[in-house]
Amino acid sequence: MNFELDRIVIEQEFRSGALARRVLAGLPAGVAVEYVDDGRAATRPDTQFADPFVAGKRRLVLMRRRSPFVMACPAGGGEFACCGYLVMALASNCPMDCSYCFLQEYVANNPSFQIYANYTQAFDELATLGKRAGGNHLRVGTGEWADSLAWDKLTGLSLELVDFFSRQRRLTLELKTKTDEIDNLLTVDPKGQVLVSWSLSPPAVHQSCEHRSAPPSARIAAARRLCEAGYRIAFHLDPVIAYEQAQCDYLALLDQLFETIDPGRIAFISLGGLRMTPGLRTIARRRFPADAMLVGEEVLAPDGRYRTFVPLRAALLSALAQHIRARRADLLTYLCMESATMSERVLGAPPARAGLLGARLASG
Amino acid sequence: MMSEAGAQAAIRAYASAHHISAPALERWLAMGEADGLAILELAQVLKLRTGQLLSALDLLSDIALRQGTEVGTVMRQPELQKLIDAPGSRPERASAYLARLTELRYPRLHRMRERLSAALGELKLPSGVTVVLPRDLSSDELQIRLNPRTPAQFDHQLEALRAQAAQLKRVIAGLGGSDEF
Repeated sequence: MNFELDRIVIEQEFRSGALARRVLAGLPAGVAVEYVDDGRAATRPDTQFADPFVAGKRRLVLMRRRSPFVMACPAGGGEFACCGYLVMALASNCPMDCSYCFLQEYVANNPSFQIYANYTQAFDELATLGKRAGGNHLRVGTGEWADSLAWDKLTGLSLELVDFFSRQRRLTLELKTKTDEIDNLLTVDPKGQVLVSWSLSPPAVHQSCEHRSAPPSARIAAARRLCEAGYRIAFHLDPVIAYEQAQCDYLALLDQLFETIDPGRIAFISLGGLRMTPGLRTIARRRFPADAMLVGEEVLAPDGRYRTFVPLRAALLSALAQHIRARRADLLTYLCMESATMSERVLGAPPARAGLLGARLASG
Repeated sequence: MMSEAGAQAAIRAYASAHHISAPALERWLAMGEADGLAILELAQVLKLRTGQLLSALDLLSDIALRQGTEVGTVMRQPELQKLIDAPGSRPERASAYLARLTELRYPRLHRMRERLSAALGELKLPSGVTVVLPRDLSSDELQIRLNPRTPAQFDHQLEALRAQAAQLKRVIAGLGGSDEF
């Protein structure tokens, strides 16, 4: 994928590092390069633009991360059935521009792309975490605050990540993406320790909402290639958007997926309904006033987010779960950011406790 | 026929007099001359309060987007026109108009709530027992409230609930997305 940049800002301490060299070598002509002592100011929104969020997407900052890299998934917690996912923050923001994306609100105050050049510190944190985890198998992902692979052609970070995780026995890396940017991954052997997952939506949602992302068929094709190359693969049908033809379209999407990839080779599928905080909803609708997917039948739910009203959401998620079970009864399926009750209703059994589900998702 | 500048001026004057916020005014003006004036006329005919006008703006633009049409086309639907011209006071007509807009904005929610309400309506429950659907069907919790004044009333209400357990379970399952509803 080719994304447009106007400017790149590099913190002085990293200007001669390998990451900076790779990025500079891969930059298209005409991108201004600037060196600064502290890149944080360059991450701030530029209010001279009508849409500072989009303007931020044209500026890349290579900088130090000044807080821990690895943390529990922010979506985990008492109110939801938790999948035990751990987040590794190697970058922030995304070159794609999905209308429903929570980053529009989450990084509104620092919308520039940030790539953390001191990322090797994350490996130290992971080593410590691995020791503390005892015998538990942990799944660590880089796709929470950025797409895991969108910049990979430029940064080549996936090569170092795969190399590190391929030497781990109790840690699985999850690279989550909406791209088909897999060239680097095809050159290395993950030794069973790397899982690549795709967010997947029907073509109608892709066309309406998922701007600049790879089409669903391209994502599925990329998944098949990586599967054949020895990677574990998984899919996130998230967000499931309950538009009028949704059930028909999502079932067709699953059919397309299972026709292309043997469901027995899929590590898991997660499902999650569209949810938006009031702030995100306001921002999204201001930025994408013509996106009909954003004016669905969402109501303010008890958790303070706009969600599809319960009977419709539950029926849709149940239909998808049943369809998956019908094709492969033992394909691990879980719900993201839904209550234990919803999980039991949709999946037919109460959710496993976080640690157990997390270990199953990590180890396959 | 009013000029575009005249239409904008009329909308701005109304908005100023009714304390419409700048972002809401911006959305209103962005609808274009014909749609903007249609909403202005609606506001004047029904004497909409500011909150009602803002709701109408949001609902109409959402319905138009969902239906892939213009706000004016939505407003010209005969059923909506009838509500404007119906007998009754202006506040009653305004309220009915907004209620119908909400139903059009959330059609499946409206149908589901009607079905669940109908199922609850079939229950023969004594006074002092109230069954309430969650607001906007935003949760799966059915609220059942007993208000006994005497121990005998309590027994009676519990007995009545027990007698309707199957129907109540149907409704609870419906809230959870069962096929029946």
